[in-house]
Amino acid sequence: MSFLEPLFLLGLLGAALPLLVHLINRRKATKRSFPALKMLLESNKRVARSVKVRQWFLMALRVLAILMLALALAKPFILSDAGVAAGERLPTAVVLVVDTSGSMTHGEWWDRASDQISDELEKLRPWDEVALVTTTQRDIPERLTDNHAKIKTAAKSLAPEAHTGDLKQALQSAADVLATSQLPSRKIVLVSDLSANNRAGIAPEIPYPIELEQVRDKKEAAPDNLAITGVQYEQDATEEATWQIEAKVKNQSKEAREDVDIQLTFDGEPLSSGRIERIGPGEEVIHIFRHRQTTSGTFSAAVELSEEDDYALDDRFSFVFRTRSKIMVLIVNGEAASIAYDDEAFFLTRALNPEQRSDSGLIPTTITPEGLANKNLSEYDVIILANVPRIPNAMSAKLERYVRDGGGLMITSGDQLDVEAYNQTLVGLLPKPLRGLKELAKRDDPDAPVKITRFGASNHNHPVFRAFSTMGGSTLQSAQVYSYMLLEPGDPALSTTLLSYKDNAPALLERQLGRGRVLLLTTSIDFEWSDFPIRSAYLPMMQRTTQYLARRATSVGDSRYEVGGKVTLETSGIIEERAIIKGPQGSEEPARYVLEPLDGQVVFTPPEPGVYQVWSGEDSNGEPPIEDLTFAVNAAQSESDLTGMDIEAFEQWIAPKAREDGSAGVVASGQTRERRVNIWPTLLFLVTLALLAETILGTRRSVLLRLWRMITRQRLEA
Amino acid sequence: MNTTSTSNEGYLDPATLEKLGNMHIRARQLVEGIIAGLHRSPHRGGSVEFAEYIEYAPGHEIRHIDWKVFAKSDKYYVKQYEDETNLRAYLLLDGSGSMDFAGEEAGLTKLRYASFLAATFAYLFMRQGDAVGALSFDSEVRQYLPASAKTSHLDDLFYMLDELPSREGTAIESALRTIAERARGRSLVMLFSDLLDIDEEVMSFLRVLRSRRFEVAVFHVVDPAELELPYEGLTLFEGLEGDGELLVDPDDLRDRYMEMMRAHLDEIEQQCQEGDVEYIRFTTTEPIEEVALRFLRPRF
Repeated sequence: MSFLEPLFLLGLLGAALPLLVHLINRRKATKRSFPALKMLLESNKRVARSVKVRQWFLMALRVLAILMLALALAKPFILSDAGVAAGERLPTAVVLVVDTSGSMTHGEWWDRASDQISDELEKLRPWDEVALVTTTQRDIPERLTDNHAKIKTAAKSLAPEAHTGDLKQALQSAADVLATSQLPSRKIVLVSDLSANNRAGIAPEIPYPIELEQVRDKKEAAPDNLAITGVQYEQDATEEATWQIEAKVKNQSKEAREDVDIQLTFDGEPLSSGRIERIGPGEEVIHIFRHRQTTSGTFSAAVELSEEDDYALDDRFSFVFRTRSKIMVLIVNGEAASIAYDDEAFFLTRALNPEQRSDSGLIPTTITPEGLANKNLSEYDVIILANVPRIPNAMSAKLERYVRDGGGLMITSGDQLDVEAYNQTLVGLLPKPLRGLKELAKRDDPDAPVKITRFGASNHNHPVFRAFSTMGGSTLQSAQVYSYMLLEPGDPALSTTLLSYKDNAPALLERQLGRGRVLLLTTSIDFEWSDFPIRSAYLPMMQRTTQYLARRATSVGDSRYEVGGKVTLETSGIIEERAIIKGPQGSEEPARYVLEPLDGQVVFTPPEPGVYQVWSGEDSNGEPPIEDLTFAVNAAQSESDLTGMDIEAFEQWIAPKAREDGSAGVVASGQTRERRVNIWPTLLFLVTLALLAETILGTRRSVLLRLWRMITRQRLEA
Repeated sequence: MNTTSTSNEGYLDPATLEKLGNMHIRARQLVEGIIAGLHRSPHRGGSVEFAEYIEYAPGHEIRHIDWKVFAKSDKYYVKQYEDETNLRAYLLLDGSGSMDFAGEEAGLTKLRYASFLAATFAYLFMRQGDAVGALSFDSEVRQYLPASAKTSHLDDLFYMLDELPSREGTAIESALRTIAERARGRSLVMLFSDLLDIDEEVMSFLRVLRSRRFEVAVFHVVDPAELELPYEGLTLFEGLEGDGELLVDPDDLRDRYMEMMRAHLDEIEQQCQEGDVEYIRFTTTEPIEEVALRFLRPRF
């Protein structure tokens, strides 16, 4: 038995009232002297028993009346399966709401759901109307029909999808459909696992009864599930062609899991595997794969559990692995000159891309300091400020953000450089503040060979100088330096000196900032302050430095797509007429979708998880896909939480008014025929009876006798 | 008469008697009413028969001196009348605790009513020249006045009746025994009681008195409340003779009680009839004259 207003149960305490009244009355009894007390005592002895029985009966009636009244006010009801409600015999409009979200693929849930759907459709009588609504598909006609065969066919073609469903929206649609029906009885039949992820958001207000067919067993309230929730990769900063691939594995179970094996696949081929020793309940653990990739390109990759569990959709996480093939370098030329040898960037551009056909992948672009403001910095992996006189405040903030986001910045010295301006605006970027020029010798000074200095000690383990520690690597020291920039001591924690001059003054300093780096060269990169540009070490040094500074290839910032969500591809300038999307890659017959770009964008809703490739116009004749547009899609993560939703929380989705007047409610599966039977009207009737009986029994017999005599006398007179 | 209220038949309302001066006035008022009821002149009563002459001695009433004999013999002779010793009435008054009760309907306690009735009889008898004695009792015999026809005796009687106390206990049999021992000749024994504690022994004593040629009359005084138990609501009844208490709703046992009370009264009446004892039952709301007349009428 349950109660709608349990607070009124406090009224049960009122059962003590008759007893209290009895005790108080006893104290209030009138005292009288009476001569024939012996005779009274004698009479009392004879009637005492019957009087006592009557008094107890009266007391019981009063207590009972109060108890029943308190119970009735608490509005008790029971769920009974006895008999069939009148409403159930009437023609009924039924909307079958089927949960087709990803979580329904767990174990045998969908099999059970299919059976329940067939059962429900079989139960329909010819005069009943039915409609079908799913939580994921919007293309099923949601209209009531008496053509049951059509609905049966549609129901058979249903299958759970890899994305999340909107149960609330589906129920609301069902309610809207029912609202159009004129039939006297209307109800919703919901086939669902009622997963906890449905709780989020505002509860709908459904004014119709919902019969809930749960597909989960009672013991499956919170099924075990392991999910791979994400993969990120980043190029290793210190080792060439090496990537760190981080996979996040979450334990959605109530118990800890041990020795979980996972593997990394590239283009469907297993590359490496790993083992996670323990994942606590609800815990997320990161496993790192170290992957060496010597060939550049775009790969369909995935991390997956070696052993699938009951919910397979989240056991695999697909991602697109891209190596970087080109490094975009922006050279800001602080001292441009028409004579090539006097141009600050002349030697550097040639060192980075000799003859403009280098295999190094370094693509330099040279601009003047004024042009810097109009450039989109994020398009470049490295920016080199070559002898730039000064940087405006706004620009320095932009540069700082650029470095923190992973970009590389190199500042080189020269005679144009305004020391004070640099110290003011670039304080957040410079490894050490600048002090001023130290000129050792003029280029035409005959004593120059004894006055100049050379590059001295270097950090051999640093990626930039690793090549110089091999045979013949000492050529770096052959360069002559006439002038260099002196530095203030600064904060030693901020910077590392990578290269010094022979006189121990720092030549190349590094500062880490966010995910990026800043290098400061205290001499010039042209012929002005040293003869370094004409030395053989110049080219490898500049290339290594630029490569070292370059933004590392990473998945950070890549868009993350889920099945059922929208994928928007920027195709402006790449695809003109039609985009062909094929996927998921690796399946036997990847589906092929042809879409037209609109305003330079292609919008696509992927139906399955995996990696999709995009072609422009034609995909036959071995045309390669557009690698930059390749994207990965995974199953909806919210579906991984398979915990069941409380039925009480679900009941809140019924419109409060309908819930109170009992016209709507939730009937759980297994109790399909049960309905709410209100007990309080019966209790109130019994209270009335009890009060009537109390009145008759409680009235003085003398009064009753008088009444009786009056009535009989009237009859006789009549 | 015009100072007192009267009942329908012109009798005095017992409740107003209490306001009437002393016992003497009450008795006289009542007797006048009784005599009017008997349609007789108050001065025609008495059946005095001359018995003998005895020589006058100081203490004899002078009015009894026979002057004719004095004229003949020059000696003072006093007439001795037969009636002086002819009837001796003994008034036995129950002064037990239960007699000190007056229901809401009644204006007098049973004891007061009985004492007024007894006073009336005393006055009446004394007027006739009969000797009247009295005895009051509760758990034992309290006061005893020997029968006497002297006028001054009436004052003693009235005083005794006016001051009757009520105490616990009822010892009717010892009262009857005392009378049996002391009464002589032709006597009328009048017992005024509520007879709540009457038992077989009392009845047998009454029969004994009757067998000794005493005329016995039982005046059974009852309060209407005792007959009907007219109370409502939960009541704590307390006995008047220390016989405990009872918390009860009178409604619950009224029928049973009334039944028992009727049986009790019928039993007494039957026993009295069988024992040739005159039995007069009355309630304290009846006019005293009427009760007295019920006793007197058959005798006149």
